[in-house]
Amino acid sequence: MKYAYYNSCSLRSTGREYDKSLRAIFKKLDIELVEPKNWICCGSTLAHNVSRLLSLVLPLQNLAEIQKEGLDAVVVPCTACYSRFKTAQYEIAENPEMAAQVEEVIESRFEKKVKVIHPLEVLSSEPVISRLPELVEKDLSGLKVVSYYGCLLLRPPKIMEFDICEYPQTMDKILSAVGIPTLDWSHKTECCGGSLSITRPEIVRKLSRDLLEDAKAVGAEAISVPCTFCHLNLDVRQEEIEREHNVSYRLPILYFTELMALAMGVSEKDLLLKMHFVDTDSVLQKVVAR
Amino acid sequence: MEKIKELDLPSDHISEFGDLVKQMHDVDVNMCYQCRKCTSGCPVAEYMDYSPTQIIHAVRLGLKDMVLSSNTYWLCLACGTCTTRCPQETGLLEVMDALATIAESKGIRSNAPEIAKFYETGLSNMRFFGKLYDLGIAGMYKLKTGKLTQDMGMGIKMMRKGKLELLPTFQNQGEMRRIFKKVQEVEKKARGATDK
Repeated sequence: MKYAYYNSCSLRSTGREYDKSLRAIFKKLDIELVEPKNWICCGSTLAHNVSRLLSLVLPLQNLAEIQKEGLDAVVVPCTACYSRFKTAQYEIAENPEMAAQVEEVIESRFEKKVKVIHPLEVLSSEPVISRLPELVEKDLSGLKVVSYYGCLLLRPPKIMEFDICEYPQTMDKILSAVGIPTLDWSHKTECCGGSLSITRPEIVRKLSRDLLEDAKAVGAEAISVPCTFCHLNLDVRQEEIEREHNVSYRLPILYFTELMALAMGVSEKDLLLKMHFVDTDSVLQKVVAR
Repeated sequence: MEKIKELDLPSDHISEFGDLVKQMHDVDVNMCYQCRKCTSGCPVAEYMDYSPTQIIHAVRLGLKDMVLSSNTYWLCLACGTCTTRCPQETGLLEVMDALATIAESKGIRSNAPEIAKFYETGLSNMRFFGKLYDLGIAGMYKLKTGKLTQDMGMGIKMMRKGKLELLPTFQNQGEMRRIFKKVQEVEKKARGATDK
């Protein structure tokens, strides 16, 4: 299998752990990832606030590049990018006038739609998911995890078409396929405050605290995330939240790819767990030989 | 909180302001029947001066100044809960985008100037580097808002942990700048066509 890989801004800075662990598990699965040479930023959570056309052009320019390189599907790990790519495709399909304006800017036409896929979709689809159990090398069955999906991956469902938007199971299924049990909880799809992290940190601390509280209440020992924004707010800001509310969570926040990599026997030194703010030793202690 | 005026409107009424929002983002505020599902699910409704339900009604009534001077559309996280749950598929996400775009183009900054400054800082960084250079955005944002010490400890720790690129790198920045310029031209042309 071979996909284009949109390894965007955040996976090269705040979310390098995500990129590193994702590459490790895709390598084990013999899935080839090709970075498009001429990529640019997709507009992230910024462009759609100032210009609809710009917010459509930026992701579609990247898809045009991928099309030029002869690939028909792209894996997009960052949920903000994933959301922008899918929204842009949806909007030009619905609005021919916008589509014409986009084509005028990017100076190319879309003959065939490049398929935009989240790594969770690659891993949960056949034949990949059936192969996961045979790749498991370490036992993590003693670790209690909650899967957190957040907002960008799921909503609005008519555009994202990802799982059941109010009660998704994709990540739970994948983690369970590599022997990691997940707990049920009520904050699976709540927003962490994402784009307000820098401008209104007090709001983010409130929303993220609600998430940490619920995870702790159901007995979680770690939270599994698919998004660099969620990781930043829950991991990097966790200590601040604890200080503000005089509580102690000490909940490691791991990308689902990091948990999978640990189960698949990727050595700790080939991951970037030291980049985490909340110490991950409590998770590593639960990784035992089979 | 100021009360929204009751106006006697025909059933097919859509204000000029509502019409502008429709033109910009294909969203018809007339579809809303004020059930308040959007506000019930909104994670930041408690911080807004007018709730999403009130804002959409105000757009419908054409209360432009009230809407644009609110902080509602700035605080919107674009989490999509409102749009997902709306029984009328009205599309508040698009309404919020349209309002932010109108405010940005008119230089309206009241009620949440720091968020507007963050968008501007982020976009000019994106235009210049071709991708986002986080440390550059954070630094410039601090200079523009005067919030020099906010998150300073966190930022230093992030650098130590290797979560921030110390020096910027460029990514296809020539193409990015061409796109920004061309988007402005095409938008101007499209506006000219609808004005006629």
